[in-house]
Amino acid sequence: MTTPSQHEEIRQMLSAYLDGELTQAGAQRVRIHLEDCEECRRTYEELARLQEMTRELAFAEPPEARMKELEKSLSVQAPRRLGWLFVMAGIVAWLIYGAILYIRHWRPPTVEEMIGSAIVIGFVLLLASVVVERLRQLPHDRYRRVDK
Amino acid sequence: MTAAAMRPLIPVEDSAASDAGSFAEFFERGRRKAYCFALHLVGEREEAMDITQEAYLRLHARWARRDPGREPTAWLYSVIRNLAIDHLRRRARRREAEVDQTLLRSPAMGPERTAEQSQMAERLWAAIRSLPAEQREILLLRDWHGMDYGQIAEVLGLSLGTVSSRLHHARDKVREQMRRYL
Repeated sequence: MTTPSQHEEIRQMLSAYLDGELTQAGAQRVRIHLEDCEECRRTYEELARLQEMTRELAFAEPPEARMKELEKSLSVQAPRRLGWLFVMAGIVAWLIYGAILYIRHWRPPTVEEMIGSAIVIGFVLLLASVVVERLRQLPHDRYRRVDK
Repeated sequence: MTAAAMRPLIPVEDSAASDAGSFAEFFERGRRKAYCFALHLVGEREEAMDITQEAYLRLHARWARRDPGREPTAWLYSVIRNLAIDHLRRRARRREAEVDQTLLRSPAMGPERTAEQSQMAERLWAAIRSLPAEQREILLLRDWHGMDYGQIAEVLGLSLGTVSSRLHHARDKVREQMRRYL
């Protein structure tokens, strides 16, 4: 015979029982109780029906054009990051190599070296401008503090 | 319910996502539900799409360095939820946040779906919408998104016992409102 407090305790377990989230012993207790208690059996059936109905709810679909756009954007993210990594590593290596050559064998630079240096300096300035722009935008980035 | 009656929290391995390690596959499989999760939280389609996009971009940036023990769907949903909370906080200054009733899509009517069933779906959605936000999100994560308690606990940062208890109360309230139609 189930006492009212036991009945209430098991009634509260019905939801987890429905989800298969009880231990074997807990589930066994509920199963035995359901065989004897019509009220809990009815509650369980109603919960199961509602779960089924909730599962079948149809919500608004995401805008397909935006999803395609996002998919494309995601597909270029990795090569873009890799590209930036190579550009930055190349520039740093070039600068270091140039500095070593400059210190070890000082002489007036050739025209080719000056052109090369101009390109490197140009790249560095462009890179710096991107970093500065990003830093300026950071205080207004509404998602900057959201992370996990 | 006693804590001893609950299954212990164990790391949940998501479907194929963590095994395949393919972000494209993970995106393709989960994007609709992820969007709906954002939609359930913010109640606005445009904002939900912005949040979904931002969340996927963040996950993508960290995908290669992700914790292999961390379940990717729960991770995605955590990021979506945090973005949504941030959005709602800003929006609350403008007006009361609420879940739009029109989020429920009218399914194509056919022999398998009668008008009565559609009406029931609307009633059910109205009952779910009337729940407090913390109960509504748990109910939808479990019954619509199909997450288990471990995944829900990870997404919401709650204990298994709290997930179970909130779900029980949410279902009780919905059942109370719906029982005359069942």
